Amino acid sequence: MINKKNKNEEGQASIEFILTFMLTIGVFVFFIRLALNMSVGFLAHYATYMASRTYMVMDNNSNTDTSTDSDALEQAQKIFDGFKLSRFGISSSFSRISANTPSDSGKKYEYVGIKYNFKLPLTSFKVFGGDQLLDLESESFLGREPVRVDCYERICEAMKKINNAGGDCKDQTTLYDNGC
Amino acid sequence: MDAFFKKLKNRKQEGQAVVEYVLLLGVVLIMFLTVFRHPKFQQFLGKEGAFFKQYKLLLEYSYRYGLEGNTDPAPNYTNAHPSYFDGGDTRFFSNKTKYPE
Repeated sequence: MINKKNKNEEGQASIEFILTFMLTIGVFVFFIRLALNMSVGFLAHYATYMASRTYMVMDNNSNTDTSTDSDALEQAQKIFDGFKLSRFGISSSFSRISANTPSDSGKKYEYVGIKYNFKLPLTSFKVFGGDQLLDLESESFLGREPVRVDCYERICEAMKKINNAGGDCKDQTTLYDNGC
Repeated sequence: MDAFFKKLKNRKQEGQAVVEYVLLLGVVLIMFLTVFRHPKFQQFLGKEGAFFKQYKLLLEYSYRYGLEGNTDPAPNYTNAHPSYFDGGDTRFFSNKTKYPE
């Protein structure tokens, strides 16, 4: 008789524990999701920055600077892909970066660099904001170094002026190399 | 008749606590659902609640610009950008004019 009574009281503690435990776990999961989003976000910022570094300096020795820009973006994409962000919960549908190129018309020239847009779940719970997605934008505007064809054109222009108007950049001219 | 009352008296009472506990849980659950499903509660903490909308805007703004705020000006890179250039203040370390061609 006593044993049966004790069994019933044990169940009460378990049920109360489960109820409070769910609430506690819920709060934990909320903050863990926030921390994960921030960590993945920092990694995405770093990947964008590294891609922007590549974009800044890449030169394919083409004789047109615009084709070099598109090749630089592809090279930056390869560096970006090396971070494998899909392993950290970013959907593979958000795998492409984009660029503000030096030739983009209308844009302020300082904003040249790499951009990356992606989405992450806001919370882990469907009933509490779970349907909303964070729309995150990572930007790194390091600019773009003048490519060799730009240097060539500038040096050629200088040589023409030094050799008087109407001169040719094939003429013998002495110049200091200031690295363009 | 005496036998009937005697039988009633001898019945076990240990189930009473369980029944009362289940009933109490039911009441608590109904109260919780009443509050949870209320439109006012849903407007604030529901799937598309105001709290999460503000929380989302705050996170998106601080992630993009590294500053506190919740109204994204959605810069189109023609002028102001909270992280880089805002009126007279700028974080760019460069010349003020475009590199000559």
